Amino acid sequence: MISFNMKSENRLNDWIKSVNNEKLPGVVKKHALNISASAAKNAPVDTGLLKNTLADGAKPKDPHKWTISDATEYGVFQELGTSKGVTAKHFLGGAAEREAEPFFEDVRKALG
Amino acid sequence: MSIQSPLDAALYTALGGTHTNAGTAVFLQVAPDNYPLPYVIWSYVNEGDRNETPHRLKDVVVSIFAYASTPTAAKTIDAQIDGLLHHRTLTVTGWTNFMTRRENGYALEETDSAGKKTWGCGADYRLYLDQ
Repeated sequence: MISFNMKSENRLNDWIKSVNNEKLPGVVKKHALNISASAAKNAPVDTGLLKNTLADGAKPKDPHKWTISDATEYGVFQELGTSKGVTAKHFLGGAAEREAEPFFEDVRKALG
Repeated sequence: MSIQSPLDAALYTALGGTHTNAGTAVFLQVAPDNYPLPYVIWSYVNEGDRNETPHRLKDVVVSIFAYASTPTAAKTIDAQIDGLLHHRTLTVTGWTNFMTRRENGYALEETDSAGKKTWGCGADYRLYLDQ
């Protein structure tokens, strides 16, 4: 199983929590779901298990922290590649990277 | 415009040769079939354009993995790569690399059908380049 924490760096995360802005949980949720959808869209498909579990893989740990994960043992090898010829697809890491700027832009807007 | 071709050359120059215990066994995406361990593989996680200034500015994340027959050997090569890239400057044709840093680190273990283990150790490196 692979997972990706949709959270900011710890110190920034602590500060965001301390701000107690009511819009931030919605911002984190929105972008966690976007990452999940993008990862599922770009995941390699054989049986469809990886893609389907990623699409439903965004779960809240707390209002400011979501985890996105699949439910397969081989997802990590598709994501990062192997020594045996499986190329790294980076469907989850790439999705998170593409979502970073829109996420921080929404955080900036939420904090006014 | 992709930066990958000049960056491929820069990474090979930085990591290949005698710089790590993998020697010249440094490959993009995948190693040749049955290539002997150890070796290094790099791949692109993301190539972003930061459209914030009049300059062309690239925000690139590259995943670099060392594969070896023991965890210690894989970690040693990973540490050598860290020493070559983290907070160092790459020479990239047509671009100025003004920041390179190590981010997420990974460790993997693979077991083939014969029970033979291969150990992988690596990290993502973020590079900012402009022109």
